[in-house]
Amino acid sequence: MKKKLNFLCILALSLLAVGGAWTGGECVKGFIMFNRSLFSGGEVPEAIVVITMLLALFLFYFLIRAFISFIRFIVNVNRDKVFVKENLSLLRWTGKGILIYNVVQILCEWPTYIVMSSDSYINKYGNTHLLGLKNHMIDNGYFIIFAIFCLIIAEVFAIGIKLKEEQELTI
Amino acid sequence: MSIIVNVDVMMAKRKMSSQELAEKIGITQANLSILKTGKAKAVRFSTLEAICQVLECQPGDILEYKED
Repeated sequence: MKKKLNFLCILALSLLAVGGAWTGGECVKGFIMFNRSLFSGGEVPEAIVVITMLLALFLFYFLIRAFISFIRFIVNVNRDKVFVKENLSLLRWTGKGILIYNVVQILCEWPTYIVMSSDSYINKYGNTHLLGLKNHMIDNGYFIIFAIFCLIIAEVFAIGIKLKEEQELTI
Repeated sequence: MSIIVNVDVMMAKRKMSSQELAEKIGITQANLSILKTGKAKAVRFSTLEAICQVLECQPGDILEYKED
């Protein structure tokens, strides 16, 4: 049972790492593209670049914290510590971290698509504003589903912990 | 909790120690302590039966309901 769980967790972790690195880069790129479109001549002020980088760091903090929480959860399960309060907070952090990362990322890239949709040449091929959202949901939808699933599992764990406590206190 | 466990009162009446009672009813002293201090969430009928058998009393002598 543990072998299966470890295999599935490592698979999920690898996919998250690849996806996180991929979409994270795209997020920074998209934000800089948007800023370039705002300033004439393509020169972006240094302050904007710094803010973008700080935002990216802020997002990566949540993503890395989510990864670490997930790894610690796997380690705890391997040590036979399953229904403990620590796992509950770890799973909640995994879910919250990934959810915040993806939602903020979508919000950051959203203006880029609005600017793109105002471009008549691109608009010829359809509504890029909506296309952007659609592409985002394809790219990040799985992560958001994974994050929500983690939060659901965390709530199931909360019920499990309560039942375990009651079981332990049944004489 | 509004349910009060009076095991210690019955133990005092029967002049029985915690260790002796725990051994006779087949639970650990730690669990008996949980029961006595009112931290227990539930009591199995089998445990209640054993306590009543050993202490020669009725369940009502052990458990009491008091409004908060």
